[in-house]
Amino acid sequence: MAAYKLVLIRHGESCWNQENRFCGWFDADLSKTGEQEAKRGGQALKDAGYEFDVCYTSVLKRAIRTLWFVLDSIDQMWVPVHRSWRLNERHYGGLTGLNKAETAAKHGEAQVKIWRRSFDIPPPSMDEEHDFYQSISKDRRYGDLTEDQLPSCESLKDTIARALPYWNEEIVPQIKEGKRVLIAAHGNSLRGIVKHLEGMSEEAIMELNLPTGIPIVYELDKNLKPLGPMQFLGDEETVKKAMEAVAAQGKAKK
Amino acid sequence: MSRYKLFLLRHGEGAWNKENRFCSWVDQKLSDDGVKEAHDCGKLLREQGYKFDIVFTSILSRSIQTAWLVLEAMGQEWVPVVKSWRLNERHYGALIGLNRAEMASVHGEEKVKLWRRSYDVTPPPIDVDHPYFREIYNDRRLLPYWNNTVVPEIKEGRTVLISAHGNSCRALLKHLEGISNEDIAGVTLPTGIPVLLELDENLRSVKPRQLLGDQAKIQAAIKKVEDQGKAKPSV
Repeated sequence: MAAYKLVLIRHGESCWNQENRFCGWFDADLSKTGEQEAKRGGQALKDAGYEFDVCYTSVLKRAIRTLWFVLDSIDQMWVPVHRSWRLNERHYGGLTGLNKAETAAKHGEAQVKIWRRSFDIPPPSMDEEHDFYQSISKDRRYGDLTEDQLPSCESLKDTIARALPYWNEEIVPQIKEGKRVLIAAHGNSLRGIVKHLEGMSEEAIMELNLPTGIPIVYELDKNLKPLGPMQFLGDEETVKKAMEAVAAQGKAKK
Repeated sequence: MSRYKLFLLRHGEGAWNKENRFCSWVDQKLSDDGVKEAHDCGKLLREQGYKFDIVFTSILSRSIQTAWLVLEAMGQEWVPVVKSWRLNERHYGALIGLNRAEMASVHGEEKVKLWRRSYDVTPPPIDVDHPYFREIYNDRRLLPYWNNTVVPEIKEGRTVLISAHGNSCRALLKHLEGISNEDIAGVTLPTGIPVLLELDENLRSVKPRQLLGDQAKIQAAIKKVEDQGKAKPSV
């Protein structure tokens, strides 16, 4: 018997996704497609009659705006929203802004493969010379972060290490108080929560790509252990496609 | 000597503003024009280079939607937004849902002006038979909230935006500018126009409030709000 229900949603396509560029902490906006994905996700939650008491998101607009579209769809704009850098997407360091081809050209295919396959090897740092150093590292929204906290690059391990304290200290107590929680965030910060909830291995979490714009529901027992695999909300077609895509990921090895 | 900057913003047009009906605690969203007003306001604030640290809104969708649109236009979606019922529009009791001009025809312009703008006259209370009673009370006040929650933020040096409603903003202005019970009746806030207040270290206004933007447009907006109380024959 589920003690709690938790809903996660990964934001949809951003303008940089469209251009196939490493986005990370760059504050790219949703593309028109991404906005549609968010609205569709909101509609799915509306159709299923979900109510929330508190929402969490990152400080990047693609996640925040996704949450706003959802809250608007379900008519719950008044629900409190908490934003934290700890739910930000993984910081891609020196790769931020590069597209796939540029990255391969700059660092070689072999190195790119290592970064893609590795849990704990970070990409090169974003140094002061980087095009986006000023606009990211010096942005006012990170003004309260200590030197230790502000990353210049992250491995997936690093991302998860700074996301989980927020999950444990801020989100879990709310769930345990019986608050119904919605988290709108990014592929890698959500991976951190999923890995933790399901007790997944490093290899397993790296294989998992969460679908975008689709509400992901966990039913949890009183110890916050999932009672079953994640469920997707949406019309039959959308849910089927998402489930198949996730199932196929474990098999394909590129 | 001005130490702090505070912004007040009255949300723009909702569907019932268009129909000149008392909306109050009924939770309407912005009309297309209201969306545009919010967007234009955000654009103006961005052009003038303002940076917010924290935003306070009511728990009515139209003020929240306004805040979101302003933050979007300014690229400051990441700024914390705090919502409270204490910033809600004034509760108009049994008048909720009724048309202002019709009310003026029936009760006279003076009476309607008194209900809308006076300091301490309450409209007839809402009761359980009212068509909008269910909608309001099945859905899941001001100065304590101001003192306990907003003032500490200002004193920390944060630039605050309050995105709220005509009467909750007027109530705040009365407090900050020391406007008398009589004089407050003459104060009208236009929609979608940011109001900048500069405060000393005791949070009292050091100069007259500034309404930012094109001044002719602002005067027209004020007149538009005041004219809602003019009697129109019912059709």
